[in-house]
Amino acid sequence: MKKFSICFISFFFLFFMSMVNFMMMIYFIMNNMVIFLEWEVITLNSVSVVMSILLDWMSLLFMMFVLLISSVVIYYSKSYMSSELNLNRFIILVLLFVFSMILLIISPNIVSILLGWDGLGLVSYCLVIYYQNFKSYNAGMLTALSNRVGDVFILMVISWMLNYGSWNYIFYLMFMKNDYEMYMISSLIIIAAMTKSAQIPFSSWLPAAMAAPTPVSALVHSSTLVTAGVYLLIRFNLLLIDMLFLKILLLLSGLTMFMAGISANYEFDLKKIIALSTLSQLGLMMSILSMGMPDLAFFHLLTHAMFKALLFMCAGVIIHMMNDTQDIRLMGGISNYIPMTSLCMNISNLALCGIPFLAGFYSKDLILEMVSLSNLNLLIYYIYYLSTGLTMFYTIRLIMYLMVNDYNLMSIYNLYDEDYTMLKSMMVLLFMSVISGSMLSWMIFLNPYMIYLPLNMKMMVVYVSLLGGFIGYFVSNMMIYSMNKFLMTYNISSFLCLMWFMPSLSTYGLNYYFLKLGQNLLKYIDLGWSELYSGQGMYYILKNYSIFYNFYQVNNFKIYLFSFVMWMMILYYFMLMKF
Amino acid sequence: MMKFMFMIIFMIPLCFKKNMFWLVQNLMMLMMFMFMNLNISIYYNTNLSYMFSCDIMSFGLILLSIWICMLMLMASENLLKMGFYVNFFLLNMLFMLLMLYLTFSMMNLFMFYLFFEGSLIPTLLLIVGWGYQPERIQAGMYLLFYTLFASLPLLMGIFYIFNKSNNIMFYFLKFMSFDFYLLYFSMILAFLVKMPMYFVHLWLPKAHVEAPVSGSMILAGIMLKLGGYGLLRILILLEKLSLKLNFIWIIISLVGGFYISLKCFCQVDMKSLIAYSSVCHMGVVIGGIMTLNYWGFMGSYLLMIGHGLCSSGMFCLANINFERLNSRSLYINKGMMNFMPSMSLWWFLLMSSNMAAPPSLNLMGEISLINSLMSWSWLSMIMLMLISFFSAGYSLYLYSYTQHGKYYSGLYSFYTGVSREYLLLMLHWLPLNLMILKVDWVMIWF
Amino acid sequence: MNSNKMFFLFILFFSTLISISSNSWFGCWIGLEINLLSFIPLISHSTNLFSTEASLKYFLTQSIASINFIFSILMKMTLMKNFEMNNFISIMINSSLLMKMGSVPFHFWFPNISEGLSWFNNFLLMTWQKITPMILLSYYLNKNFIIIIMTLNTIIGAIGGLNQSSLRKLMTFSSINNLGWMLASILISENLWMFYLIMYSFLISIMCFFFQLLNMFFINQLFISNINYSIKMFLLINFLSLGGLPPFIGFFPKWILINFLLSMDFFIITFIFIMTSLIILFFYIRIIYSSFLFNYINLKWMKIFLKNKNLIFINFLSFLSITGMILSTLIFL
Repeated sequence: MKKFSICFISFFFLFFMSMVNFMMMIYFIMNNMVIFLEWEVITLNSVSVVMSILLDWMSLLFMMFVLLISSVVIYYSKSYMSSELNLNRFIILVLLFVFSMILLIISPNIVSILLGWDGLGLVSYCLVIYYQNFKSYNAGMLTALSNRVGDVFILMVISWMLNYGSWNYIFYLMFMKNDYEMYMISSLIIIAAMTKSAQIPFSSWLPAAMAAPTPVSALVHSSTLVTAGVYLLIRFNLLLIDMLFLKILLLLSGLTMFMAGISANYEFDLKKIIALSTLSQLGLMMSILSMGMPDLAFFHLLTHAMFKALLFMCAGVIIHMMNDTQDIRLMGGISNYIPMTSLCMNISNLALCGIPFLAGFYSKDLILEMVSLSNLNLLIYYIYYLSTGLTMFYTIRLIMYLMVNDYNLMSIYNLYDEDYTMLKSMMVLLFMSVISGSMLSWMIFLNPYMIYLPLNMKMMVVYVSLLGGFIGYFVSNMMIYSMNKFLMTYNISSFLCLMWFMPSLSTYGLNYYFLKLGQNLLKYIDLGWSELYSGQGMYYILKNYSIFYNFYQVNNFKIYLFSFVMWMMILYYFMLMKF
Repeated sequence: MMKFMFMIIFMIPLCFKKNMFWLVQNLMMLMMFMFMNLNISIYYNTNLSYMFSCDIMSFGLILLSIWICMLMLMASENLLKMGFYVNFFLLNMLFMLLMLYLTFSMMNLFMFYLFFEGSLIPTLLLIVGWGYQPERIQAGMYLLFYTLFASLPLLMGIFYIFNKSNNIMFYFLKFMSFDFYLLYFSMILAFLVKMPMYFVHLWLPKAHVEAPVSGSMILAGIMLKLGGYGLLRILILLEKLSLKLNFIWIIISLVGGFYISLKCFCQVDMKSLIAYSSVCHMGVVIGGIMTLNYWGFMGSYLLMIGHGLCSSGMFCLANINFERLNSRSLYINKGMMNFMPSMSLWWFLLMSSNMAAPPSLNLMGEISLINSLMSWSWLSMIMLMLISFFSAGYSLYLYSYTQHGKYYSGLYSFYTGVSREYLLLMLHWLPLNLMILKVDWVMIWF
Repeated sequence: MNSNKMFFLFILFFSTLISISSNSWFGCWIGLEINLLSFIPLISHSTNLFSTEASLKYFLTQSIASINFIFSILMKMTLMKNFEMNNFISIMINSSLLMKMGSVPFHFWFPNISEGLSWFNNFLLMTWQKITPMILLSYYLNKNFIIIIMTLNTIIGAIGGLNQSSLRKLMTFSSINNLGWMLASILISENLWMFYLIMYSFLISIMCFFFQLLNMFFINQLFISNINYSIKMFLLINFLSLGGLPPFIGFFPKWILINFLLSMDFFIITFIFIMTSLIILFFYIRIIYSSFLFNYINLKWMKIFLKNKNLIFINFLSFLSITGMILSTLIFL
């Protein structure tokens, strides 16, 4: 029975589906085919809620990548989570996640996107709080609620799109571009995508979500969940060209890229560094999207998925070996002992930096060249190139800490690399992260881009990379006694290190006001004035009236009889007056 | 249609014998399936009898009431074990089912009122008779008096309509129109208190918390929908004034929904949280009905049915915890996933339906209601965004607090879920999430 | 029930017949006097101080009312020759009749006296003694005056009863409240009033019968759980019925009355009526809560025995109370 565990079955199934999608994708690109399946759920007043499936090359390609990564991750988690009692629950959650992602990818219809989007948010919540400690609980809440903000915006988009009579947005986006409603829709969609892809101001959930198990991070937080927002904007890009909001998105995503790069340099938690690098690359994807080049964003999305997943997997192996610590100050010199893993790590890191002819080079370099070619202001140009330099900076710093410096954990240790399950899965991704860049650039770009740049602008990439590398090397060599001047820069470094205070703002800054408002409402209205004007108040009024009445009821009999006689006298008097 | 009334009436003598609990429950299930075989149509009322009729709206709600009554019996096995006046409980249940059935199937506005009030009495008896805490006295009083205070003016309104138009059947009243402000307020307030709307919702948390599980289920499942049903029936004849004045109710219920979802975060009692979330959902429903849109009417009906199943299921879950731990407080009910992981699945499914996650009926209902409210005024977007967001917030709060983390260290012994409880929860969840495949049966009622 | 009582009871019934079937005002007055005369022996027991005091008070109030009645009648005969309608004289006549009945604002004797009476006598006081004055009232009604009075009746009945713990006084205030409803029905038609009276008497008879059986006079006596379970349930249902909750039979008269009042466009009055009936319902429910819905310790030293024939009677009455409405729709269909 061991052969037929759920991990194996799902691995084979997903891998098979991935290959099927690959074949279909090539066929569809060659023949320029699109398959569109539709099933009507309900028609109400001439608006139809339909469940549609759109299979064109973009969705098939993305599906192929998602299925490949997820199959490899499931295979990997067979060994990574082997000591977990509830492994079946975990795998089923991962499969649910993949299913939601696929629903998102194949939907040309905003209602079925909502299905996938909501599903993604909820299942990622379940996955993040898989380990039951306080950190996971808080991280899960942050993740779920940040994603929920996006959900809410998509709900609003659904209701604004009611105006057009159909929720299949791909049909009318280009034609209705100048309407007021479309303007509203596009703003809402952009904000929704920003929450999912963790741009500023919603970026606090991504580093916090590292409380999830590493396979989850590899699948969810590197390639699938966070790219859902980018994918949504790619689908909507016909709508978004030449919009004002897109300029704001450019600024925000650029700042995300920059901020994540800086914060990654201050971090000492391995997974957080990788998370922040994901955030930085997401910012890159969003910003190139907002400059009007969705193809490049898609390209970078796909290649990034490959090497980032690989990077997370390697991090998982390392964490396992380091007795479950994640602090890089305790690691060092592992390249001596675990050559295969450090090989994978190095290749993925170099692909991340954009070293020539690995996967990341094709997408990243093309992006930077297109950025240099387009007309933009100096600030954006600086942000792009500085972020590239920062990428190199933290990459080299990470490599130095992990592989070159001394081992700091324990005096007697055993680091082993022979977990073949995990290695096999990493090999697949290694292969893909080397060749996928070139493969994709030959397949999806039918006409190559014409790049014509002056020499220094072209070499600017090399300059900043080298600069970043050098600084990374120097920073990682700093000893403890050279840090005694650090308190002078305390304010600046806490600002930069704590992700520009966004986690605190998203949690403490918002929580307090709403919870306090809720408590005050409960105390003063529900248990206060509402009670006074209805139940308790009426009771007291009536009771007091009754007590007052009793004062007249309990009386001397003579007074009563006398009052009756007086009444009769008064009537008699009036009557006589009348006559 | 009368045959079902007689079926319920002739089940009453069964209550006086011993060991009839499960027989009555199975007969109710049988009645449910028999009822599904009736012919129904969108365009007219079918199955006419003396005063009974059946169109899709009443059909769906009667189905829901039979279903929930049946599930109530399944959930109250604790009463059977302890022997707490089982016969009287069965009698109460049958009386309630009879009243609800008659309410929804009457063609006559006055008869509807009669049984609408009549269904209060078994609820009151349930709360005060089988509740757990001394606060149930106040809860019963609040329930009775809030509802009666608003519905006696409804009686006056009904007689006014009767005197003016000399008939009182729904079908003929559709062609009348009344222009009298007092009439409008007196007729609408009754249903708004029942729904409940924000300022007059105080009875609901009290009644839900103090009731036993069967009382909570029927309250959340059907009694709130009586208000919705009434509104959907009578707004047609108050159309002229509704167009002028409905904005009041929409504003109160939307802003109130936001406030209530904030108040949910401050609750310590599980049942109280679920009760407040009911008020929040019903606030959106009221908003949708009051816009007088087609989307609003359809969506509110759908959300009523979905909410009935979902809230009722959540109360069952709260009771499952209560039976084991004898407390409803969140400080004690935590970390349940360590003991009952399968129950966590049901918590998650029902909680996700509560926050309108796909593919539940709640999602479709909320989408329809958001559509109708936004088409009424785009400014409602702000409140709707806040309500949706916070409803996800408190649902997740409830789920993660009860399921994840370390369990209460004062626990002594525990038994995991029994199949009856799983069956109960599945029967709540299955219609809720699978009906989305044929949602036009529960959505389009005229 | 000994033969004395039967004799005086017979004369009581006969006196009402005299009063309502006479064609002269004098005959009415004669009937009223005989009524007073025959009721006093029914009430007073020489051994019980309370009932003696009650009978004395009753005699005083009713005789003053009768004297005023005859005085107003004579004045009417003298000054107006029995043909015109004069406001003041009609108010005088109505006032004296209202005092006979125990209606606001002349009702202060009513709770006082009922404290000294047994349950059967209370029942007579609350139902039978209203017939004659009501019918006489309908002969010479002053509409505006009666409208004010009936509104006041309902309000005072509700508010006065809120703070009571004696069952007799409570029933009295509820009787004053229902008197308001009955006055409203007299305004509309005599048939309607008769219907209301019959329904009300039916309900009150069940209540008085129950309390007589259980020998209970105060609310805290109802806490005994030794009472048979079905008795408690019937008590619950009958109180709810008396309060006017559908679907019990007590709702029936109120329904009909509200219908007719609204057809005459008495909106505010109807609103006041129904709101005060809510208050009355509140204290009914307060009573039955204590007795029925809580579990108390079983007292071993106090047991209540019920004879079998009483049980059958109780069952039948309560069955009628529960299903009366539905059965009546079958009859009047």
